[in-house]
Amino acid sequence: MMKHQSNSPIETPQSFLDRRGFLGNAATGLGAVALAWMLDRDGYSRAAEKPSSVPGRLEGIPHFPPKAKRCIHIFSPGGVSHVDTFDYKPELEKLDGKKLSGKGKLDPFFGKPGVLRKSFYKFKQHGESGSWVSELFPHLATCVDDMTFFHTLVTKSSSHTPACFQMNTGFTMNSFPSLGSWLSYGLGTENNSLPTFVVLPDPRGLPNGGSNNWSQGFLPAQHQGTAFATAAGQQSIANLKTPDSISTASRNAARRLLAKVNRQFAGQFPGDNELAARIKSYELAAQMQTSIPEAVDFKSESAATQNMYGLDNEKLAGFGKNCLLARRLLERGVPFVQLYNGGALGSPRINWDAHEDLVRNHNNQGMLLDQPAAALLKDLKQRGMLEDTLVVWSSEFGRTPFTQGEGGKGRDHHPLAFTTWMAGAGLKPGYHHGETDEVGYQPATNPTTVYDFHATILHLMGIDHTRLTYYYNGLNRRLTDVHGHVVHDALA
Amino acid sequence: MPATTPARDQNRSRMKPVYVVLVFSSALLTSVSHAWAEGDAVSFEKTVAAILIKNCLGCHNPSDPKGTLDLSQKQAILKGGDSGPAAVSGKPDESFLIERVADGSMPPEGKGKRLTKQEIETLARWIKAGVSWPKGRVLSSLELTTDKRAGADWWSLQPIAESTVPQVKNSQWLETPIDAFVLSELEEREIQPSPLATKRTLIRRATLDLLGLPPTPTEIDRFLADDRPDAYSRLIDRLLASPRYGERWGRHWLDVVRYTESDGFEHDKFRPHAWRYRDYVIDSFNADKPYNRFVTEQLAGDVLQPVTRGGLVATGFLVAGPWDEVQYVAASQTERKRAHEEQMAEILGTISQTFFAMTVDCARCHDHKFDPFPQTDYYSMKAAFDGVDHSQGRTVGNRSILTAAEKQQRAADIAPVNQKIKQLQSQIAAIENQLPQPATLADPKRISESLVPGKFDKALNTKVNTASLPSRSVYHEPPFTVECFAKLNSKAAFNVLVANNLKSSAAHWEIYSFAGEGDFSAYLPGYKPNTVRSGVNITDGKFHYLAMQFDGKQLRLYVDAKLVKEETLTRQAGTNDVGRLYFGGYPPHKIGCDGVLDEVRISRGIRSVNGVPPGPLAADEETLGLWRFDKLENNQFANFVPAQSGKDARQLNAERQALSAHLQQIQQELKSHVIPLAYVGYRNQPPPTHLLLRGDLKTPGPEVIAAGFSAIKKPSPNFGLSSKSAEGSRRLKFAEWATSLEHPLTARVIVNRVWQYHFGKGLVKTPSDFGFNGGLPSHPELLDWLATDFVRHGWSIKHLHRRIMQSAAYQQSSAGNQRAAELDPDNRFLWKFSPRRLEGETVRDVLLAVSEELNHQIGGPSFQPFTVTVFNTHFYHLFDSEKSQYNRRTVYRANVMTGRSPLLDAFDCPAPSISAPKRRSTTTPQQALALMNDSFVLRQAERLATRTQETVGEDLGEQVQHIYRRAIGRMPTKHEVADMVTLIKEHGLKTACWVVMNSSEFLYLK
Repeated sequence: MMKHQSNSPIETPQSFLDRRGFLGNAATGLGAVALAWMLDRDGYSRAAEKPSSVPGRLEGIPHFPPKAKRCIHIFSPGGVSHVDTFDYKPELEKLDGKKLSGKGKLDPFFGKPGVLRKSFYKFKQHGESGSWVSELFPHLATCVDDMTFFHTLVTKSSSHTPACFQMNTGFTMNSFPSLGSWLSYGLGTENNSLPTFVVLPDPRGLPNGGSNNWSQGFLPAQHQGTAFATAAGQQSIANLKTPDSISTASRNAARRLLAKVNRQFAGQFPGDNELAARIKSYELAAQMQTSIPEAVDFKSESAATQNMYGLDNEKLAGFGKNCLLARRLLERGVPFVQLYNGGALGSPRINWDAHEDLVRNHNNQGMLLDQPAAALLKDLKQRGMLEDTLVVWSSEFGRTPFTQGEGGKGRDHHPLAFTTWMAGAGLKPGYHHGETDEVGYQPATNPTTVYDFHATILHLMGIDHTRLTYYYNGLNRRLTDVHGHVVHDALA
Repeated sequence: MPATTPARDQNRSRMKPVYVVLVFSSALLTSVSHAWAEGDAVSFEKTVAAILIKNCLGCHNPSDPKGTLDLSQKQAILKGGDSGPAAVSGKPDESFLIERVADGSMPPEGKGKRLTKQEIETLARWIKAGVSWPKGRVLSSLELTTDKRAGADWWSLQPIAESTVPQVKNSQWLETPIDAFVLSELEEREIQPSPLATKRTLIRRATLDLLGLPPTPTEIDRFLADDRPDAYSRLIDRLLASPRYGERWGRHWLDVVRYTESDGFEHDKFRPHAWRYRDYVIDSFNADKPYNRFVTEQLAGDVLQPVTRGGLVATGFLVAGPWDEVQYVAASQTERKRAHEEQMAEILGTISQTFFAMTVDCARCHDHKFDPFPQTDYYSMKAAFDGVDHSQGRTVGNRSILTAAEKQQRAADIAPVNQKIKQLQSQIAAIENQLPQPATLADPKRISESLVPGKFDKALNTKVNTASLPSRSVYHEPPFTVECFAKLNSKAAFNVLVANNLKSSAAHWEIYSFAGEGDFSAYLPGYKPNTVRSGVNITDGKFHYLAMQFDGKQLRLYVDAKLVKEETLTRQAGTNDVGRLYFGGYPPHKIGCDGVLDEVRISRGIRSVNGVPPGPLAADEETLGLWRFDKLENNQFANFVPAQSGKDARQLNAERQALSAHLQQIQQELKSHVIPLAYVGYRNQPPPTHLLLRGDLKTPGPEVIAAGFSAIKKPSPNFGLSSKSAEGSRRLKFAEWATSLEHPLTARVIVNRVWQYHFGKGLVKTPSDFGFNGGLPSHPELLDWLATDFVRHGWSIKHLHRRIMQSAAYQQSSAGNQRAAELDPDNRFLWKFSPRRLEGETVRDVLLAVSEELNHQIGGPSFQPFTVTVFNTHFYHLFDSEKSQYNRRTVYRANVMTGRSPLLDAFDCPAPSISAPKRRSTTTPQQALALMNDSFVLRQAERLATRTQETVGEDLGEQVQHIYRRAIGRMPTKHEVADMVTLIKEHGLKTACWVVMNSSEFLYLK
């Protein structure tokens, strides 16, 4: 009854598309390294599969000429106070100490709205753009003419981890594919001997939700973020190093025989590209064993460069190294690096979660972020890389313009409006998108959802966010769910 | 008709040519119009209704009518929308409906195809004949499938058909009816099936497939030597009887139900009792539990009479996904509700995808975009499960799995034990009440800083330490008086001098200085007002004599013997829980005391305050406790109250010690009656469930009651429930509906899953999606035949395995065939057995099996190859250990979200917490690195080398043979022996083992 039924006139493309079938037709397509790198038996689940100039790149991508070829996301978890950093609110000074009214029911995370509190920091205008930045960021303040600010980000949750998940994956739940995984899946990489999506956690520790923040979710395994261990004496990634007990000669001889054995086995199944890809994967693994140690070795970096990132300052060196490493990874073809400026919640505070004492918290966090991040922007610029690199900075939400509790010295979580910035390729430099109301409580103009934010990032990378899809349980899933509009106003 | 607008005039002029066509064809209309006049319901459904539903209802429906035009019912059509009536009875020429479809402006570009001439004429004839309409009929866009979406007529929602086994030419190839279905498709495409695989291949294939472990050389030899005609059937029976089978196939199920052993989200706490659900699943597969029972237990086993332990544990399915504990930290109601709705969506999505391969969870904010599920379906499903929660507040969902009978038995067993415990406790308390209790210093490491010069002799430096002792009820029974000397340095924070019991107890009292003002105050939460402030600042760095008198009503505060405050208090409700008496702070809330505390005295009755005592306080008959803080002995400050009974303290202490020892012994006995716990969450009777417009909590819609999917007519989705029905009965009804013999999805879905695990690919390639976006069945009749056969054989999964594995299709060789490869490169029509890589768990298990290190221990708590540190979040630090407890099968590895293994990850083990209905098989350099260098892999290579030497000695040729037989189930060729021997001579046996364990043949099932 079902075979030729008339009530199902079409089969969705993905249900019949088969990668192996296609590869079988693509002659001896194995020459293309791409196949080995990305081979996925469940090929039907990818929207389309044809070899392209870049290994593993989805057909049709870029959807239009990209402005940025690579991207860095600096993530400052915990909730950076927008009204104390980039969102200058002179009105708050007048209303200091008063209750906020006229905004409906105030419902902050800990349920204790205090009184409006003027910024804990002094603001000044900087650069030709005259952008307001607080004294917390003296170094970043010198970069404002290269930055584009989004003052009206809105997110769904006032709880850290769901909000972090949303900033990273578009969803507030666990294990959805992260932005980096989507980019890895869409863009592939020009350098097969480095991962496509590298995460550099804060040297003080992983964020809440740990590796769930860079999960590949339902995307194939190779798109999971690879978190580099940056502590001395550790391997950058698991199993990279051949154990000392195994001599090079022995390993080489074993690998030669392995290749022979595997070729013989593959010979029994002509046209099975997966088996051929396995042989190739061992060659790539060997390349990775040299390319990663090379990338993490700063020998070739001048003292001036290292000092610019703060490597000569014990306090800054941890995050500074990660910033420098990020630049080196980008140079070597890694398309997406995520840097963490902050770890898990807990005591003592190692992220931006300034409930108790904002000044004490933000002073420290700001110092750690400011110089290295500014150095990264300047370094990319002086090398001409900022022209086709996108740098994104965000937290998961902002902080309330009022104190937490009447006599409080801190501020509570605030998902209703907060500031992020981007810099680099394709953006209007020195531009400020959206304005919050007089106290920074909610958007007065141009609310920007996290979906919009993601759509804009993908757009700059040459990807139409509605067309970067992956079939999983009933739907062609997207980073932006069923939402998202590119913020064209902010684009050059 | 309303006055025409200029815009409409424009339209009209644009559409003129079509108009002419219509006029031209109107000659036809009269001849057929009688059909409509008679109100022929059948032809209405086939023509007019079908055209409207497929082309128009998507936008013009009652829930959100575009241009306010609703085409779902007659009155609405005649009434029309923004542009006026859609149809004017008898006058197709004046009807907008005709005008718009004829000029092609409807359906709009991108929303649908233009209507054919025939269709337009049908509509015109129908209007001409008077817009006949079956009484009460309301059309819905969800009824019929279009090229954009599935309707209620979608294939998977139709009843399972009785398929006839097709006739084929090459009947010799057939082993079972399955083969006729397969061969019929192949013959239609002129593709030859492959011959049967060799017995050696078959035993390896079947063993890896059913057990996830390789056959041993002995098992292979035995099978090869068995020339009975039913040797292969016997093999399958043997494998299905092995407990290893449930471990293998249970893991498949755990993939689908997103089984996780940690919470995820912010804390990612480990779930120490989640494993019971894992064992339930494994046991169910091993016991061949009928699938309908298996489904019912997971949805409603806790209310399925008679309730069994298995049934209780089974409902762990509902909460096997992540849980956001922090929603209960939030005071924000918005945040709590948001998190709860997300959690429900997660649970409902899992249910609908697992059992029905449908994504009803996509109908949360609006009608499903692709499948025939109106938004109400989501909320009526939600109503069925609205009582399910992971927790009660922050109380984690670990619950007793004792049945009612077991509970009764246990209660009877422990009642005398508890009785005895109570008795001993009260005896001990009685003695303690006679004994002056010393106060113990909280932090013994800071003894030297803790004792400083005081008012009289030494005193407690409360800036660095606190002291406490078990409190007694006499300390809070009014009337009583508290006195002390204190010197305080700062008023920035609260300085707690003496605090009795926990603040949650109505028997709590404390004396302290208030933050900010520094005035001497008292706090008694069991009374109203609970706070009494003197207004006199005592934080001036000088010693003050402080006192509080309380007679149950009047409370008086004295500073340096001057009455500074008097207040009348009224007792409030609350229980007088006795806790500890604290000096120099309130440690439970980490409140300290910046200063020095000396000479605390608690007295029975109101002790009059007559001037500042000139010397140390003394003990008299009324003194209940007196601590002078002059000297520490064994980390304790003495209490100077004289014993009140005739016995001396030493004797009392000895009695107490004897009683305490007895108590401990009995408490130990109680432990043997431990209550088994499982992570199954909580069930609460929910308030009425409301639909949420656009899924938004701020816009609740109508009330919805528990029901099945409206697109399925049989079994009826109406459960006959109300919003008052007990939550358990709702789930039970839902489960009955799901496992009804008539249900079109349940059997099809599980049959397809089992097929997929055997062949690497389902008959429907999207095992959790039988909807519009999923694949269509390659062999629809076979799918129905299997489903029917499955249900007829008591929903037996093992029967299904036998059916499938005995087919010639399953037993085919995996070798290629040039012509077939060109015609069907994907092997969708099963002309061979597709080779496939082993899953991550199997790779690890096979490595352990081959090295003979595998620990076969069945069930119980998971092994945890990690240490945990907690910094708000739980961090899992992996380690590799050779100890046997870590060499159990991978299904027993604690499946925590952020404690994933790089080796398993590299082989595509899915993230726990999201459903993985199908494993991927990727090939990456990280995978190669894992097999090359992972210490676990290297150790197994080494162990295989050692075992090989132990077994066959030093002959290199025999060593190679042994490795091959053990690892890949065959003898090596001459060339292979030669190559390996050369390698062994130069680099040792373990290098050869490494090569074999890295080889494709080792990792592939063929």
